[in-house]
Amino acid sequence: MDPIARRIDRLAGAFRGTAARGAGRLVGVAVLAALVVAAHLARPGTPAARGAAAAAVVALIGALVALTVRERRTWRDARRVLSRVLAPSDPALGARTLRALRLFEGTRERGDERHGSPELARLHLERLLDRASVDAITAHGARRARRATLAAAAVGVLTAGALVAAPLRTVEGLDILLARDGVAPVPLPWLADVSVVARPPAHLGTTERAVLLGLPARLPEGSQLTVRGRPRFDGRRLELYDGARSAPFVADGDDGLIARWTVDSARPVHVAARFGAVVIRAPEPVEILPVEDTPPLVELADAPRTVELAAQDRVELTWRARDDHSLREVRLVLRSGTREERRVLERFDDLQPAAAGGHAITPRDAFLRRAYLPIEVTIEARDDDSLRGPKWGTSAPVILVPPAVGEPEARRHRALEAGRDALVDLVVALAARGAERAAAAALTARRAALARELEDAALASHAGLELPAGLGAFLRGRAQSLGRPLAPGESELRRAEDALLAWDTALRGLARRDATSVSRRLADVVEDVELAARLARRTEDTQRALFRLDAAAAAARAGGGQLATLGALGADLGDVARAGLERIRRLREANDLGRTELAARHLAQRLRHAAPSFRSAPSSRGGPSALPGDGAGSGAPSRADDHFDQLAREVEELTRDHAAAVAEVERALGGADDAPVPEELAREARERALAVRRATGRLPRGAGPEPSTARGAAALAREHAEALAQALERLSLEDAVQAGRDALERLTDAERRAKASPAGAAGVEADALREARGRIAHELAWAERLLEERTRSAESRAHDALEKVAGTEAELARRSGNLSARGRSGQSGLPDDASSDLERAGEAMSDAARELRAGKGSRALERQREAQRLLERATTGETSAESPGERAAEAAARERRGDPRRASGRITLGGEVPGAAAEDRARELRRRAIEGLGDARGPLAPAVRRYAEGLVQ
Amino acid sequence: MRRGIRAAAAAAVFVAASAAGAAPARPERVRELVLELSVEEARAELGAGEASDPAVALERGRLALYVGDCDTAVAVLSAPALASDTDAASMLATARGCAEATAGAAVVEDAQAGLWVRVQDDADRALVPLLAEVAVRARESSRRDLGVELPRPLRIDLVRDLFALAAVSGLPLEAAETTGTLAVARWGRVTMLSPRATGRGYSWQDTLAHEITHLALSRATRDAAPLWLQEGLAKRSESRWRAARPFDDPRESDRTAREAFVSGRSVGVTELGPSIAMLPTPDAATTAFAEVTSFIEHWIGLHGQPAVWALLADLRGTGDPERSMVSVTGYPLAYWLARWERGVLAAPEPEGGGAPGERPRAPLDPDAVARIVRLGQLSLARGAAAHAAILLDAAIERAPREPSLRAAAARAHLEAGADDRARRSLGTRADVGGAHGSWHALEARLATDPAAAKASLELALGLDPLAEEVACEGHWTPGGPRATAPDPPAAEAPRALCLAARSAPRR
Repeated sequence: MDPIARRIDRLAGAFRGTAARGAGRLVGVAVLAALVVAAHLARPGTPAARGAAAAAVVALIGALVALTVRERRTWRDARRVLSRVLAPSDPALGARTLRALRLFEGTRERGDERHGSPELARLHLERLLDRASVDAITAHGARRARRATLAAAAVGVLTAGALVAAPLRTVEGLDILLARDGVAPVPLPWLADVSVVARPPAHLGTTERAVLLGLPARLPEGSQLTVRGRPRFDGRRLELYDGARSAPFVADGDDGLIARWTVDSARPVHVAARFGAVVIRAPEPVEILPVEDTPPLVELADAPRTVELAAQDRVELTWRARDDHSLREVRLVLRSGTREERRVLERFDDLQPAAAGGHAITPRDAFLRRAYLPIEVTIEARDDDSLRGPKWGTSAPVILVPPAVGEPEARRHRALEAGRDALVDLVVALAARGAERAAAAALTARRAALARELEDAALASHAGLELPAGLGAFLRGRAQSLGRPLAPGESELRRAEDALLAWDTALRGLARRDATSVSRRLADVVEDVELAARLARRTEDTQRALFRLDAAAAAARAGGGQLATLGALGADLGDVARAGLERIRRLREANDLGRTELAARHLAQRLRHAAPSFRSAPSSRGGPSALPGDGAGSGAPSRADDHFDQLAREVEELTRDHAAAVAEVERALGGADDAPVPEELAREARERALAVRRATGRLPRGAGPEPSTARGAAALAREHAEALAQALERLSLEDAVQAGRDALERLTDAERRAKASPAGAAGVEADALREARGRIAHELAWAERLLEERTRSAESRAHDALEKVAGTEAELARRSGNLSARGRSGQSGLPDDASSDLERAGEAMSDAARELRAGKGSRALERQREAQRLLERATTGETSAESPGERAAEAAARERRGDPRRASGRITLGGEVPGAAAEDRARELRRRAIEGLGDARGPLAPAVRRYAEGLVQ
Repeated sequence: MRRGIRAAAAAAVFVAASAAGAAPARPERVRELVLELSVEEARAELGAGEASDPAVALERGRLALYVGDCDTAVAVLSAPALASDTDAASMLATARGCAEATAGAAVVEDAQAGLWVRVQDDADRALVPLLAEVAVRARESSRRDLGVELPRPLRIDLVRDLFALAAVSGLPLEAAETTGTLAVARWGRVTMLSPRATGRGYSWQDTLAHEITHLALSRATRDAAPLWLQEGLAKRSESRWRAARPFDDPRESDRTAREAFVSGRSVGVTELGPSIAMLPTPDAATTAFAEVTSFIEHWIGLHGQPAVWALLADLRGTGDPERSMVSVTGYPLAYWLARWERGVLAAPEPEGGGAPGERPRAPLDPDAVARIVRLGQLSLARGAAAHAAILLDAAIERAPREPSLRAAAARAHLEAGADDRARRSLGTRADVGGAHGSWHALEARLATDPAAAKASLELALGLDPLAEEVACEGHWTPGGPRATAPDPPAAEAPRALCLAARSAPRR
C-alpha cells in the first residue's frame, strides 16, 4: 500500500472510529422518526394522505442513499478526507498538508517539477502527515460523534414520545400505508367479547342460532347476522365488511357496539375499522356458507302427456308440491298461443312445506272453449321467499289438444241427427208394416228400445258439451212419451211421427243457435288471423306473427268445417267461412299481408254477424224478397216445442208465485222479530257468544287445504262456532241453531278422523274438542229453546196472516197438480221426473195450506220450502234457453271483444326496462320491508306477512 | 260502329288533354264523365290534373270506385285534404268495405262479352258464363230500348251474401236485410248476390238485367234520372232482354198497384225515398216496384218508346225531371200520375183462380201441410223414397199449385224408380202457380222432346243454377246413407256448374 494512502487511512480511521457511531445513531433515529411521521400522514386513509406518506418514505430512502454515496466518495478522496478530518482538528497543518498534497499530485500526475521532484513532494507530504496528531483527530471525531448523538437523542426522544403516546396509530398508519385494494395487510383485533347471532328469514319460521367466529356456518340466504362486541379502541369507525358491502356498528346502549348483516353471499364477513378508503380487518371473520332458497318442486301426475280434449268429459289433474321452506300459493296455469290464464288453487298462510291436491277441468271451461291452439296446462307453486321475491316452480305440462271450434256442437248435432235418423227409420218401418202380430210386437219393442236410446242421447255429453237444460228436458220428455204404452185407439205411427217431428224441430232450433254461437267464436279465431297479419306487417318479429297467422287460419278452416255441419244456417255460414278462408289462403301465399288483414277483417265481421247470407223481413206477398220456398209455407211441422215452452213458462211462473207465498209466511212469522229485544236477553246472548269463542279458542284456526283431516274438520268446526257466536250476538236464532248444528257435526267428524288417522290430527287436542262440544251443545240448546218460544209467539200473532196465505197456497197446489197432469200427457209434456216433482210439490203445498189454516206457521213453512225446492227442480227452462256453458262462453267472447288491447289491436312498445341499479334498489326495499315487518308475531302475523309480501312484490 | 266512334272520341279527348300539357283537370267534367261511366275519358281528363287539388282527388277516388279498384279508392280518399269532405267520407266508408269484402277475390274478364266479373267466392266462377250471356243480351236490350250504349267492360261484383253486398255497395246492411235486396247498381257497377246465398236461388237473370238497366240510365242521364224513372224502367226492362216465359205476368204490377190504392197501402211514385231497398218493409218495396212499373208502362203506352229517349236526353241536359217531363210531354209529372191513377182504378177488378202467373195460395192448414212435407223430406233424405213419395203426394193434394212440393214428390218417385208417377206428381205448367228451379229441372228430365227439355233447363238455370238437380241437368245425389252422386255432365261448363253445386250441398 502507498505510504501516503496508509497515513491518510490511518487519520481517517481515527476519525471514523469515533465519529461514525454518532452518525449511525442519528441516521437510525431519523429513519424511525420518518416512518412514524409517514404512518401518521397515512392514517386518515384517504388517497391524498396515503400518497403524502408514501412520498415521505420515498424521500427518506432517497436521502439515505444519497448520503451513503456521498460518504463513500468522501472517504475515497484524500483531499476530502484531509479536509474533513485534519483541517477541522489542526487548521494550519491541514492547510499545509492540503497544499503538499496538491504539490505531490502535481509532480506525480502532471510531471510538473518546477517546485521540486516528486520524491521531494512525497517526502514533504509524508512529513506533514506524520506531523498530524491522531489524538487530535480522534478528539475531533469524538466531538462530532457527541453532537450527532445529542441530535439523535433529541429526535429519538420526540419519536419515542410519539410512539408511547399513541403506538396503535403508528401501527394503523403503517398498516394503512401498506394496504392493497382498500384492505390493510395486518389484521387487528377491534372488538372484545364478540358474539354473533344468526336469525333466519322470518318466513322460514326457525329460531336464532349462535355463530362462532372463524368457523364456517351454513345459513339460509337472507339470514340476519347480529354482531355484538366491546370496542378495544376508541375513536375507530367499526363496521362489518365482506369486501363488497359494509354495515356500520352502532352503539348498543350498553358500552358495546352492534351491527346487523343480511346474508346474501358466501364471502366472509369481517369486523373492520374504516380509515377513509381503507379498512383494517379483524383477524377472524364470520365464515358463511349460504343456503339458497330453491323454487318449489311441483309434480303433476302423468305429466308430460297429451290429451285429446274432444274425447274427454273432464281432465283430472293430480298434483303435489313441496318447497325447502314453505309454499305460499299453488296455481293452475293455462296457456294457449298468446293467451294465458292463472287460477289460484290453494293459498297458505301458515308454514306449508308440502301440499297436494286435485283439480278437474272440463271442455266447457271458458278458456278451453275459446282456445283453438293446443293448451299447455301446468301447476305452478310459489314459495314464500319475500327477500328475493317469490319463486315459482312449474310442473311438467299436460298438453290439451282442443277440438276444432264447434266440434263439440257438431258431435252433439251428429248424435241428435242419428237419433232423428233412427226415428225416421222407425216411422218408415211402422208405415210399411204388415198386419202380422209378430211384426207389430217387434216394432213396439223397437219403439221402446229407441225411446231409451233417445233418452240417453238427450243426457249425453259431447266433448263436455251437454244439451241446455230446457231442451234436454224437452227431448227426454219426447223420448219418454215415445216409449209409453199406447192408449186405446192411439196410432203407433202417429206417436212415432210426433216424436220425430218434435225431435227434428228441436234439432233444427238447436242447430240454428249452435251455428250462431260457433260462428261468433270462429269470428274470434279469424280476428286472430287479422291481428297476426297486422303484426306481421308492423313488428319486427314477423316469423312469429306469421306462425300465429297460419295457426289461426288452420284452426279457422277446421272450425269452418265443423260449422258447416250445423244445420241450414251452419251450412250457409260454413260456406261463407270456406270462401273467405280461401281468399285469405291465396293472399297469404302471395305474401300480401295487407290484403290478408282486410279479408280476415271482413270475414271476422261477417261471422260475428251470424245471420243467413240472405234474409228479409216477412213479406205477405211477392216482390224482390219473395224467394221460392220449400212448400211448407208458414206452417210448422211440430208445435210440441211451443207447447213445452208454454208449460215450462207456467212452471216458472208457479215457482215464482210460490216463492212469494213462502216469503209472505216468512214475513208473517218474522213479525215477532220486530219486537224490541230486552237488554237483559241481549246481554245474555253476548255472554253466551263469548263463552262459545272461549271454548273454541284452542281449536285450530283456518280450514286449510285438507278438510278431510281431523285438523281441517276441527278448524271448520271453529268457523261454524264463530258463526254461532255472531248469530247469538245478533240474536239471529235460526242462524244460530243452524251454525250450532253444523259446528257439532264438524266436531264429531274431527273426533272420528282423529281416531282413524292420528297423523292428521296434529295440533288438535282431544280435550279441546270435548270442551268445545260441551259448550256449543249447551248454547245450541238455549238457542233452540228460545227459537221455539219465539216461533210459538209469532204463530199466535200471525194467525190471521197465515190463514190468508193458506188460500193462496191451496190455489198454488191446485196449479201444481194441474201442471203435473198436463206434463204427463201428450206429446209436449215434461220429463217424468219433472212431472213427479210437480206432483209432490203440489202435495207439499196442500200440506202447507192445511198447516197454515191450523196456525202452524213453522211446520207450514217447512212444507212450503220443501215444495219450493221441488218446484225449482222441476223448472226446466224453455227449449231455446242457453245453457250456462253457452252463456259463459258468450260472456267470455264479449269480454274478449271488449278487451282494450284487442280492440285497438296495437301493442304499445317503448316501455322502460329496469336496470341493475333499479333491481338493487328494489331488492333493498324488499329487504327493509321484510326486516321491518317480517318479525311480526302473534295472531296477526300471517296477515302482516302477507301484507309485507304484497308490498315487496 | 258506335263503339268505334266512342273509342275515337275517348282517344281524341286523351290526345287533347295530353296536348294541353299542364292544363288543369276540371273536377266537374271528370265527375260528369265518371257518372256517365266514361271511365277512360275521365282517366284521360284526370291525367292532366293537379294531384294535390282536393276536388281532383275526390274525383280520382270516385273513378277508382267506379272501376272497382277499392284499394286505390281507399288510398286516395284517405288523404288528409279530404278529411272534412262529407262526400269523400261517405265514399271512403264504402271503399273500405269494398276493399275488405273483395280482398283476394278473383276477377274473370271476358273481353269478347265486354264483361268484368269479380267473384267473391271462387266457387262462383262456374256462374260467369251464364252471367256473361245475360249481360250481353241485357246490354243489347238497353241499346235497343233506351238508346244507351253501355261501356265495355261492364263491371259486376258477384258477392257471397248480403253482408258483402252492403259492404261493397255502401247500402246499409239493415236496409238490405229488411227489404231482401238481391242486387244494387251503384258506383258504376252491378253488385249482385250469388244465387247460392239465398238457399233456393232467385231469378238472377232478370235481376241482372234490372241492374244493368240502372247503369244504362245513369249513363244516359249522368245519374240525373229520378228514382221512379230508374226503377220503373229497370223493372220494365227485367224481362225485355229475353223472350216471354211461362209465368210472366205483365199485368201483375197493375193489379198490385190497384190493390195498394184500394187498400190505402200505396207508397207513391214520387215518395220512394233514397232507394227502394231502404223502404221499411218488403211489402212496401213490392208495392213501390209495382206502382212505378205500372206508371211507366202506362206512360210509355201513351207516348211511345221514343218519348223515353227524349226524356232521357233532356234529363242529361237539364238534370231536372220536372222540366224534362214538361219539355217532352207538355204536362208536369203530377198530371200524368193522376191520369195513371184514374186508369188503374178504372180497370176491372182481377178475378181469382188459378190463372197462369198467379201466386200460390196459402194452404188451408199450414201446419198440416208442413207436417206432411217435413215427414216427406226427412224420409227422402233418409233414402225412404217410396214412403216420402206417398207423403209428398198427400201434401200436393192440399197445396196442388205449389211447384216445390210437386218437384219434391217427383224426386221421391224418381228415386223410387217410378218415372210415371213422378211425371204425374210433377204435373204440367198449368198445374203450378209459379216458376221453380227444381220443378223446371225435373220437367227437363222427364221431357220427351229434347228442345223442350233444353228450354226447361234454361228456365231452371235462370232461377236456381246451384241446385244440384238444376246444375247437374236433372240429376242429383239421392238421399240415404249409402247414396252416391251420379256422374256430372261431360261438357266443361255444365260440368263445372254441377261440381260447384255439389261443393256446398244444401240442407
